[in-house]
Amino acid sequence: MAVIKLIVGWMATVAIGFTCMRQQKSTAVEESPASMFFRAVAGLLVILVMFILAPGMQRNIFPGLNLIILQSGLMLLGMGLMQLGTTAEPYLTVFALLSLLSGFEIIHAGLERSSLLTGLLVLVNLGLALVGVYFIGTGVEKGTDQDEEEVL
Amino acid sequence: MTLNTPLLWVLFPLVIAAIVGALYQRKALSIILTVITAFGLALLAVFFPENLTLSIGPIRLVFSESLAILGRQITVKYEMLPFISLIYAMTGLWTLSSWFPNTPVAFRPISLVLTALLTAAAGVEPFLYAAVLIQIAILVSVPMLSQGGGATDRGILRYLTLQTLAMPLILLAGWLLTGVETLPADSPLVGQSTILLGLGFALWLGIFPFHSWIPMVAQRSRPNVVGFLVFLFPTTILVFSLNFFNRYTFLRNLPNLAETLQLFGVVMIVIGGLWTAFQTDLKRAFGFSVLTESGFSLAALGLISQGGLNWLMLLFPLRALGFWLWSFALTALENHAGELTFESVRGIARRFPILSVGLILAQFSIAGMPLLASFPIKLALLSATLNASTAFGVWSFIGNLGLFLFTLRLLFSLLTPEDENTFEKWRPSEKSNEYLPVLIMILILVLLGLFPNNFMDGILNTLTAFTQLQ
Repeated sequence: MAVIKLIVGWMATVAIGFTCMRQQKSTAVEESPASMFFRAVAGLLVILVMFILAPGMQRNIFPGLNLIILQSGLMLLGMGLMQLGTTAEPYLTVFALLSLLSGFEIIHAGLERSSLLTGLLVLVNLGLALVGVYFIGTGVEKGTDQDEEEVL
Repeated sequence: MTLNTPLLWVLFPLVIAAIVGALYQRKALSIILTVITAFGLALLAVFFPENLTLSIGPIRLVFSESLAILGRQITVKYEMLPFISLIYAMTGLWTLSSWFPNTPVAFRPISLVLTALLTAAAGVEPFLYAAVLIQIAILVSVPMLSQGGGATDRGILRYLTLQTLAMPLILLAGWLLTGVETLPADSPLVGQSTILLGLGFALWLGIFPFHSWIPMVAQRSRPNVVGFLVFLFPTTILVFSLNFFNRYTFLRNLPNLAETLQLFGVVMIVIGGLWTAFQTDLKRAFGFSVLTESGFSLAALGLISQGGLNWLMLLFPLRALGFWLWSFALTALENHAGELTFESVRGIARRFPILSVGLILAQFSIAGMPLLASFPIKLALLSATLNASTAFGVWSFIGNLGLFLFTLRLLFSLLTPEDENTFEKWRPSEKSNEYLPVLIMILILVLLGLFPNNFMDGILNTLTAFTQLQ
């Protein structure tokens, strides 16, 4: 099962990575040092918060789950959520969703083992990667102020 | 010869979708194939015999209800066939409207795939696996939302993000629920699983505050595609949610759940209604009215003890037909006017009177105008909400007025000539393939409004699948 996840992860990242390279899109060069510093600090804070929350969650919600599994899963979940909140780039959004789902899958794999569920989640990961490739191919529209103001 | 029903309503449309996808350059052929498949499966669901045996001349086909995959089962029960018939019939209607120029070519195959996947989601055992099937359907739906292969809208990104967040929550809630059945009602696990479930469904249904993607997507994508999406997903997800109420006694007995559902329903009705009333963009207004409709669905769920489930089920086909006419008229008018703002459609009723009448009546029907399709159910729902709580009832009524107000503003704009100082003649210039579907649907909406009991009872049979909710 773990090998399947590894292979699918490779496939997903290779698909997105190669498409990015072909489209010559790199946001890294556009990001200011202050923004990178902010992301790094926010990331560290998220990891810290998740490590603090994990023992309590293990006690109250997931008593049968190994603490290290829970911590690593929560860390990925938190990082994914943080990235979702700080980016509007399509491929970064897809990477954030993949990170979030990986975190969830780590936790869920410790709770329940099912070949069908693993297979379906593999499909979800591959589907997300393909959607990422599609987004990179089409680019993203710059939103208007109205979009943000009128949706509450 | 033994077959099974999932083969018919899940695997067969997937195969046809693959063929339609391969034939995407042959527009007429792909439309015919999709429409025939969708309507054929809808009719088959209506006339399928209760003993699951089809006799065609000397051939006798015996069907079972389940298909086993890797130790799990996809089941299409006889009781679910009215609902399946509805979603396939509406898929056929919506793909019929895909002959409009600029409809994404991916719409036809994807619409079939979505309906097949959501049919599977409605019948997978254990039913929590439906969350993954719904997630796959969400991923598949993304390409059809991009208009003409143009740049990806931020609304679509938000749609993907919020919908994807729901799946882990539902699966985790499912894991928690496996232990909850044997626990006392005051166990903390009950609260935890309820919160996770509530969050998951709120994300899926675009409930406040997770609703922002709906008007954004409605504004940027083709109206016929959006109409299909906002009908199919919430409808199937609401039916899927009934599984939880059916299976878990603690959910049915949870104190304040009905009031909470009603509260969120009223909030959605008010938000959707007020924002609709002040819109100047017709497509965006469509998106906001979807929020109002989600609110009515939640309010109906909250009134489960007063027969709310019947109203919920009856609202599905009426809403579907209203949304279809609304999105059809918007798509046609968008092709003629370019943009769909009050300014750009000013006086357009003088050139496209039947499309304009269709648009206005669709909106009135959704809003619950007397003599139109949704009126009897909306009236019953609003009365029951008022009886349950005066404040909720008054606010629901005010929220529902929003769409009436918007429709009156739109009517004024459609009739006012571009140059108010000159007399503009009425020059109807619609083609027959534009006005005929509109006229037929108007007739259907009026007939449903006049004789609500004669046509709609079939859909209520779906509720027999949920034995604990009778």
